[in-house]
Amino acid sequence: MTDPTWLVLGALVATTFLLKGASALVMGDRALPTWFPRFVEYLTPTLLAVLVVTQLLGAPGGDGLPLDARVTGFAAALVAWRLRAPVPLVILVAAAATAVARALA
Amino acid sequence: MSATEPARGEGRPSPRPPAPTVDRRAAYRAGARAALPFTVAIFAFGVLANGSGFTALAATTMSGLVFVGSSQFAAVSVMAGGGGWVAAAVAGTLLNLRYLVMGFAILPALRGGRARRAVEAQLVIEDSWAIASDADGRFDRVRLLSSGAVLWLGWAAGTLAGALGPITAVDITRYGLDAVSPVLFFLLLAPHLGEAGQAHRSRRRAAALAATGSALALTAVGLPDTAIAAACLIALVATWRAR
Repeated sequence: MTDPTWLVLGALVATTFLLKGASALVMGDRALPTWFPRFVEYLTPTLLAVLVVTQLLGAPGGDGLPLDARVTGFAAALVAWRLRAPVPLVILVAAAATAVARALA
Repeated sequence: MSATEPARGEGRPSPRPPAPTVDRRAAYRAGARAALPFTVAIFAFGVLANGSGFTALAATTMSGLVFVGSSQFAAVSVMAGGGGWVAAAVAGTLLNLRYLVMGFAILPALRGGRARRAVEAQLVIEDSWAIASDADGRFDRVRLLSSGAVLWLGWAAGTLAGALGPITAVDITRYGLDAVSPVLFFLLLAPHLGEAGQAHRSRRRAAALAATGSALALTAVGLPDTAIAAACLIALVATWRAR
């Protein structure tokens, strides 16, 4: 059976396993270089900042900056967060504001 | 109660002592709880895969074994757009390159020999990696495992439900659920920007700001997938300058 969906699946499973496991497989019991913890200290905020931007503006297959209703929801959630609202409320505000902005657009 | 709670590092002494059992249980719960809100859009992949010629079995197997939303979306979109399986696998793999860096970052927190750590690392996805991260640049293995397990179960079950059809992509946007994940990543980012008086605070903020700017620029020119590489470069420069 050469259903292409299963070929993609198999290939992607293999490369994902190797990429995720590469550090353990390559390093074994050796220690990482001494500068590495400092690098991670900067890497974490930069990667998370990228994720915020790409999750907020990204569209599957879309080019450019499609400023859609998610931005409204994100802004509303930021306000709720600044006002020290609990996390579930912040999330609710994000979804509700996005839904309303989308319904009005 | 809060997704930021575990990552913020409140009440967590900085040079981490060996965690006693009570802390361990608390960490398990904190990780699982922080992962829950990330499961709001778990149906999306099943819905897309179903509309792209994947059976429910293939879609669910993919979610269970690949367990990276963006990579799966990329691969399936390429197929849906008429691309071959090699092009689809390459697209999915390129999006996974970031796990190389994230895997090295979290490696010191994992336990056991080569094989066991490679297996534990499979639970790393952006959400669990961020939930497991502490503001001092270290990672908590227990929070990785518990949040990873919750996310994995939700992702596999959600894909199956999405592929079988009761939910559509329209519902996700109608209820604004697509705005939840950027907010959650922001909540996980906030503690890493440092509290007043913390070491390297301004340098960390500058690095995050530079990464935000470059991600905006790269998204604007249609290259959002290269933003991770740019962020790695920015982190390297910050490390170099902090010597």
